[in-house]
Amino acid sequence: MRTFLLVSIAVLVASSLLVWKLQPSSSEDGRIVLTWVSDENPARKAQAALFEKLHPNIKVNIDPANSGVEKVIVQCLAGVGPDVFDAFDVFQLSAFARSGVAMDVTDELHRHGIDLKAQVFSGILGTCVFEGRTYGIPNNIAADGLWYHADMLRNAGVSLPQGAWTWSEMIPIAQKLTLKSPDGRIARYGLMFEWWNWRHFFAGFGAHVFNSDGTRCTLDSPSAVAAVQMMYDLVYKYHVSPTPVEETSMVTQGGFGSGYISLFAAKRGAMAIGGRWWLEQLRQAKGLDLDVAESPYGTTHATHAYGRGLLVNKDSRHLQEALEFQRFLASEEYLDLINEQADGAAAFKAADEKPSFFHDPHHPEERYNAAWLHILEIGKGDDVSPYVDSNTVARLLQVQLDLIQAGQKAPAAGMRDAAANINDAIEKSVAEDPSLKERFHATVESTPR
Amino acid sequence: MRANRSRTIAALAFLAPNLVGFLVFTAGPVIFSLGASFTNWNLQQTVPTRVNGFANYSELLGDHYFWLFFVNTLYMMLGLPFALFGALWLAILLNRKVRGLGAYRTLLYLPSFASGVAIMILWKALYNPDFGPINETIRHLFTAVGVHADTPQWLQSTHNLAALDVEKVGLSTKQFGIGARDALILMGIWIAIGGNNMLLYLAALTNVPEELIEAAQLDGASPWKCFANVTWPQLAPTTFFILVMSIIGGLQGGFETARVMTSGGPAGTTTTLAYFIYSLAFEQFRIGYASAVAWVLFAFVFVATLINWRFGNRAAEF
Repeated sequence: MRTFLLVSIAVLVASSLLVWKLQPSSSEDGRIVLTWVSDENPARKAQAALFEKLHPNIKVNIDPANSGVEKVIVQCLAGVGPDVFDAFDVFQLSAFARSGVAMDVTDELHRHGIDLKAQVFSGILGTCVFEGRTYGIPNNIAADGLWYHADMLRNAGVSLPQGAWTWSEMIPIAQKLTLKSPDGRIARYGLMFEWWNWRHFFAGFGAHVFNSDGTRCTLDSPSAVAAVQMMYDLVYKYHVSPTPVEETSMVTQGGFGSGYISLFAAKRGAMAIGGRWWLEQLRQAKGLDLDVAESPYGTTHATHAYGRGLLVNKDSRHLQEALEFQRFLASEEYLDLINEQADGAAAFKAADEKPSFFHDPHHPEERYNAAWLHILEIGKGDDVSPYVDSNTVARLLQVQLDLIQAGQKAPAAGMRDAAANINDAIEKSVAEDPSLKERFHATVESTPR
Repeated sequence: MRANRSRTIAALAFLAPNLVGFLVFTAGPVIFSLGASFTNWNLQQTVPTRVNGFANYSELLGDHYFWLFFVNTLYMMLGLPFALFGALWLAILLNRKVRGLGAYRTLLYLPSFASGVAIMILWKALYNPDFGPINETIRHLFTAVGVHADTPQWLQSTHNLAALDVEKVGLSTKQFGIGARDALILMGIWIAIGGNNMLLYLAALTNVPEELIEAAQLDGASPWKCFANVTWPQLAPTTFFILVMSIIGGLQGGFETARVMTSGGPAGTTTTLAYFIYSLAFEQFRIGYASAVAWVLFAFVFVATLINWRFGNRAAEF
């Protein structure tokens, strides 16, 4: 028995040692391995490969499986986080910054002559700068414009205005382009948009989620209600965009990208609100006659800008290499690659003003990059409140948007309830945190009413 | 004495791998979460972590989302009796001596082998309101009997058969109908009928003494009376076990379906307490509060099991 016991223990110890030996090493072929948590976009591989070519001593492992704020934060706090990771919007940046896992690189970038405020489009700053401190460098930028099938518009005898135009000009055109099949179902929608893209409509109506100091949710403001009312009307009043049920019936695609892009490529929609990054999928569909225009606006000539910012884990075991990778995102080679791949567009303005951006020899049919540059220039980022957790805001708003989208609640009522619930959340969050409470009251008292 | 101690040490050494695993990966986190439930621990670290006594528990009592999602959880459990009797019915069918019995048993148990996520994606396609086979069939039936009615919107609808309100605990006639919650219940019944419960009943049925049934038949009992007075009482311990496990599973359930099929929507109607705990801990980063909800859920499960044990166990004895 004793022998058996000793042998068992020896086997367990040996197995443990073997597992220890087999665990992923932080260096490979003598190279330092950086882990980059990003999405599953195939373009990432070429981006990592370019960095490896420029830095032969570093290997980059892309880890899309752990993409997600909660995973990154929990892993970083537990000491097993990635070296670098993406923040996909201002809300995620605020979560990473507040949880203390993202490194403040303000001084670091200054030392290397990188000045984001001067060099990148203002619409993307929110994914990198939080409360005056810089945490990231933008990987890319996107701002939504209006994709359209030029041949469909020609056949229907309509043309889009050049430059800025409004929703009231757009609706008759979208109605003309909407086609019904003999069984009464809509065979082609005049305009396709996705409900998660409510921020695009907000930008065009000058609406904000919060007031300027973040102390109050303003989703019940006339501009916010008008923005959501427009989304609702496009579906239920003008019947030019799909209802949620029609949307579910059509969108079946999984994996990277969006089912909407496939549907647009399959000509189920004549026009669609989307970004330059759609090209990654649209390039695969042959024979399309595409063009781009500015998306219509309501009261404010603006569109929603978004993108990703690359952050560094402040406890990374390879901090210098991680910072090197972050700075690589400001290099000419990387920015040109982003534009070639159509992974959105380069966030640094200089790269989008080069002749090679306007006339890509590999894609001569893409004659609309000048339009994209203009769209990027009018892009506005998201606003965020320091007084409430962004995921809570997203959840509370989503409930109301679901009800509005399903036609169960009027937009004004839904937005009023969303604002009330979010203001309750602000109140609760402030009550829990004495320093936040102090800051909140000081801000409220100093703001003229 | 020395021999006894030696045997105890040897036994503990053999148990150690499992015991250590249990202590480190199960008991430890459970106790840790109990401690965390008395703190304001937030992963975003906006507030220094400190002990806040019963603050999370008192907040929970007044949190209408907690009660809303508790009601959702209970509603989703309405399918349990159907699943239980469905499994019994299937087990009785599969207990008959017919040709190809092995093949039938394998076919009906197949869903239990299949990946849960794959099944959920399949059901998502079945529930497609426009082109899904379920609504296509309903439309054909409606046409055949001359009914002009809308087909259910399934996963897109907040409606439910109990007319539960969406935003508050209460009833609203506007919400009466078939919606996402009912869709998940139906899918749950389908999965459960051919699953482990059926196997348990099948095993229990094979243990019912033949002579008891034969004696009843000799006394002139009809097949139904045979079942009701002989077979069903013999199945009572199994039924009790399945019931207890189903209630525990039901109270803890709903996470996978919500995550894969609905993201807890539309408008939070398929969010159960299990999904709420996940959302609190890993989307809102409120670990302390999420732990308190988890422990209250544990208390509900514990009380439900005690009640079952107190009243059900007696019924199961014969």
